Amino acid sequence: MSPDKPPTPPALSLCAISRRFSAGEREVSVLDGLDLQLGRGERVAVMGASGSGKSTLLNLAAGMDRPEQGRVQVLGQDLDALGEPALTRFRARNIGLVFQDFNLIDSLSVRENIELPLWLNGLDDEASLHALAETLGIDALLDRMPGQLSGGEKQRVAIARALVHNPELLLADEPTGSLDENSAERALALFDRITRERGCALVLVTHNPAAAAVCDRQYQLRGGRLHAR
Amino acid sequence: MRPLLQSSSRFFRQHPGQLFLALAGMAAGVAVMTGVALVRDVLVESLDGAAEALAGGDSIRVSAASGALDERLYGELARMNGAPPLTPVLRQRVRFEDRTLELLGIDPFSGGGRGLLPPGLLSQLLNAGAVAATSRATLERLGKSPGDSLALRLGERTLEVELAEPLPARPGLDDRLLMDIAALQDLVDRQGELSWIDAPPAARDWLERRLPDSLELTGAGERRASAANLTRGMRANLTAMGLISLAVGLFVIFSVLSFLLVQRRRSLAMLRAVGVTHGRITALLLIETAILAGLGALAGLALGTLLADRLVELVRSPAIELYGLLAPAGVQPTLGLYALTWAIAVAAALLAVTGLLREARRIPPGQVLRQPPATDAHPCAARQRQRCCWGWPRS
Repeated sequence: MSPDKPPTPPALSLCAISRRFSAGEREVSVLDGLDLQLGRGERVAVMGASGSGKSTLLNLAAGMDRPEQGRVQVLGQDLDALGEPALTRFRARNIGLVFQDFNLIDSLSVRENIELPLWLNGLDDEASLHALAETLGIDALLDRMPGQLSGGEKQRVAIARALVHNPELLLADEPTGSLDENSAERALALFDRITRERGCALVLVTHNPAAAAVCDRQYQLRGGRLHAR
Repeated sequence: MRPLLQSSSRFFRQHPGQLFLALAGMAAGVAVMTGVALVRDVLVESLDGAAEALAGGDSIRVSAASGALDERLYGELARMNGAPPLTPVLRQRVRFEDRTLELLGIDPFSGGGRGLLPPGLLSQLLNAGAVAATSRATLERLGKSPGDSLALRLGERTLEVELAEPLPARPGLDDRLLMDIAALQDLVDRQGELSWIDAPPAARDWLERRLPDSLELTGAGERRASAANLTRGMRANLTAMGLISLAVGLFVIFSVLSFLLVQRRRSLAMLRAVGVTHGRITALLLIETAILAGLGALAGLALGTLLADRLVELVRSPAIELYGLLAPAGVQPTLGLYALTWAIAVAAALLAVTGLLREARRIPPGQVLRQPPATDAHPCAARQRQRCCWGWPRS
């Protein structure tokens, strides 16, 4: 009889997360006992009004902020148990981030921007970089600087950078927010295809119902908690 | 570190004004510091210039506590059994136009005078009366050529000397003219007088046993200490000036780097977000500072040497008037001084940016979420946003 395999930990587990911020003399609770379980390869969309705590949620999931209460686990690792720089290295290895404003490093070329996570993880995977660049249609742009790209091209470079090291968890904050309608549609189709092909879990924060539609589950963030839509 | 350094070097290429300001600030501070250090050395060494030219840098000197030595003492010492090589010297300060010159009378056949003059020049000095020899550099500064006559002022008197062929290049001969000692005694009416007698350092014991109590015997170290003592006030002022300049240079480099840090908050936060550790960011900023400070300091060393050449001209007059020191016309930089100044400047720059490093470590990586990049270039906007982001998150 073969021994029981240990259960695979979820890609992301947020348990009873609370986060407060001070606004002047007032304490404002942004997240209040929030729970979220995200399996491997699963994709969820988080929608909500401005100021509802969507970015805070992503910051906490990426280990770039810490909750006052609750526990954040990524791939079974309790982020609170990691100090700097272990947490930074964990994020570099396992999490991909895509931002609304792309956040490419202006002083690095497209190729260098995409190579950054490879370098941080001690990988030298030129073939993977080229394959990804070809899939995203940016292989002809590798030697350009970010300032020479259109918004849509920048977003594709940002997606390539987030995925080049094959992270298990992809966190995207309004990835189509800065794009025109056509570019946004193309970017979403790309997101859909790439995350399916690579099997990485996705948390997509968006205002856009069309963007949310590419995900398996959709939530509304309201009153500091997630509500299924 | 290669991608980070590449990013940094491109950033500076895109902002040449700030790069120039950082380099110029450092260079200015180090230039004044170097210039002042070189001039301080000149002042201390100047007392010994003549002795160095005639008897070597470590000679010992017999002199009278006040006034001149009697020439007969030299004759008596030189005739004694086992007498060391002795060099009798008569010194007379004179003026040529607005310049102070030093006439040095030596016995070309005795002690350090032997071998100092080439044979052709020796016969010229001995046979032609008031003939003086000096370095080619001094001839050029005086605007004279060999064979020209030089009208020197001594009080109310005018002394005419003929200039001989230039002496071989030798340190300590700036603005000094060598003459036969007898010819100089006649020229300045100081027959029978000597200013001092130089001897090699090994002759100290021999001389101490034979010199009368009224005479002084001083070594090169004591003479340098005496010069250092005499010029303490002036050197303290120059040192203060150098340190203030360095502080200003460090302030400029600190200001530029802190401006750059504010400008690059977003990039640094982005790097932190994708997984660059605090340690790597700190290393990057330290390397940047060391390179900027190192390059700026190198430029400062070169500028400082040029500055010192000009400064020496400025301090020559007060050095002669106040302390009786005839400073050399040029500076003599050493590799040791350059290396020390460079190392101090770079270390001080690194120390000056430690506060900035702490601030860089505090940049939260989450700051980059949902921030319009267009405003990042403006430091005030970045600060404003930072407060906004830390106090209350955008969502």
